[in-house]
Amino acid sequence: MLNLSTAVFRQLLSWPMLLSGALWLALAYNLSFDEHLGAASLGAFLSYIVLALSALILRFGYVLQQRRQQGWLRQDSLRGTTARAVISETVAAMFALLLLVVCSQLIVLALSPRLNVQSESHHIVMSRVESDNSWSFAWDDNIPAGSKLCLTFDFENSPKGVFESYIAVKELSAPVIAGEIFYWPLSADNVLDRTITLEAPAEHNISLIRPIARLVIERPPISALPRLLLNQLLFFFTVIALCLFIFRRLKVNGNLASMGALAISSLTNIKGSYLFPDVGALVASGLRFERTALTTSNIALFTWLAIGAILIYFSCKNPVANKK
Amino acid sequence: MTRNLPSAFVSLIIAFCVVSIANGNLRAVGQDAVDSFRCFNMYLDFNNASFEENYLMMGAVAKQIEYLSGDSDVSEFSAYMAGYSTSAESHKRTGRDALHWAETGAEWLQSSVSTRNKPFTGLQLAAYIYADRILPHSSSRLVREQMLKIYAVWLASGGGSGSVNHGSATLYQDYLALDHEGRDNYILGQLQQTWVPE
Repeated sequence: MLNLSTAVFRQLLSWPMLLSGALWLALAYNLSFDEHLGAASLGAFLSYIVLALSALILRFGYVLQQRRQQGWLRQDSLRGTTARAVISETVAAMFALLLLVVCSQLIVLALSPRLNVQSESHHIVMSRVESDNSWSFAWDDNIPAGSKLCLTFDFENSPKGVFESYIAVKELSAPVIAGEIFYWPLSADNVLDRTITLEAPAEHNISLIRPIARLVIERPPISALPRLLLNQLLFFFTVIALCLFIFRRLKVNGNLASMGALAISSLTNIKGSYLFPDVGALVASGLRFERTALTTSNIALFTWLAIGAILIYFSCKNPVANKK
Repeated sequence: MTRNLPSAFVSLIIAFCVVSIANGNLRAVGQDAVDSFRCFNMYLDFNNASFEENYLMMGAVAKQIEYLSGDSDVSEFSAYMAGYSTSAESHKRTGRDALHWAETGAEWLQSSVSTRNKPFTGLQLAAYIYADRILPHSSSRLVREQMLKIYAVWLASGGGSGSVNHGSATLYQDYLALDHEGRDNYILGQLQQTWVPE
């Protein structure tokens, strides 16, 4: 099985592929952390890594198709070694992805780039006016725990001498001082509900300067990179399983299978869909990645991994042998 | 026929994803890399435009960068360059030209206030552009009102989290203590005290 894994791994990461990967990493690093250009963003770097991992999945599909054309699948079924072959292919693909992830971690560790100086990012949330002194805010994504809501209030029409008021959410309240930005720390319930309603005393007649608020979300530090990359690896485990299932059980062309696996895994990004566990945040990347990064719940993660394990289990079963 | 069914099904899923991505309803895995790369190129374009003093280009690219990455600094820098810095007398611009760019810079700052990630940034600059570059060349009452309104909003928003003026809350409270007419004069007084003449 080890020999088979090594063979698939070497087929997957041939020398030209290794060279392309190294070049891609160098390019990704420069594009993401250039001192004079770019947003010096960890999210940008992660997005290039996700793209490279997706390219590896496509390469995996191509290798599977090549192996089918070479007659290896037929031999597997004749010798009754399908399960071992599937596990070897999974291990080889996971190791290829792991190599890329480890290299990307090493490059950042070795060069320790400077990130955006602002440790917090602001994301706009629109307000729904409930009444003259009550405002409701709702957002679509899972946001990290510990996020805050940033609001700016206008005391222009308040009674004379009123420079301070308070904002209440259920039983909790916090003071608002005229001329100061108001921050409301979101509770675990608010984060879970994805909504919050704020209320001010009607007699103070304060209003929002504009009907919007900002979600203040802390940017993950560079030390969070290993966890972010591990999340990507876990996400792609099920993508590999999907690819193998489509290829082996549904007998679809390898290239089409890999594209199908990527397409199906992209469906996890559809908001409000209960078809898949909410694991889109595992591959949170891009310039505003902090909004969803590291927000995947353990239940969703384990469900996603269990789906992957089940798909591999079904891929291991030899359909020809079953018929006998 | 049945042999091709799985392939057709997978193709259908891929087609559905492609259409959803094109509609903007779905983000494919790895799609963020495209935005990151676009943003990098926009920073390049912004630097080139800044080097060439192409302010319209700077403003247009800054808006896109702000939309993609949430970075408002480029937007403020372009408004500062177009509306304040280069409309100074030392740049030997004609009065009309300077006024045009000052108005353009102020407009850029105002138009993006609601979409900007940080509402407070840029408001002070907009007020200064009005006070120092537009108001001396315009007798319009609307311009004056606009300037007063922007400065009042800036005071109310605490001058921003990165503001060096930690006393802005006190300023705003002093402002609130006055009657309507007194408030306008208070702002004018503040503007005269704080802006740095060339």
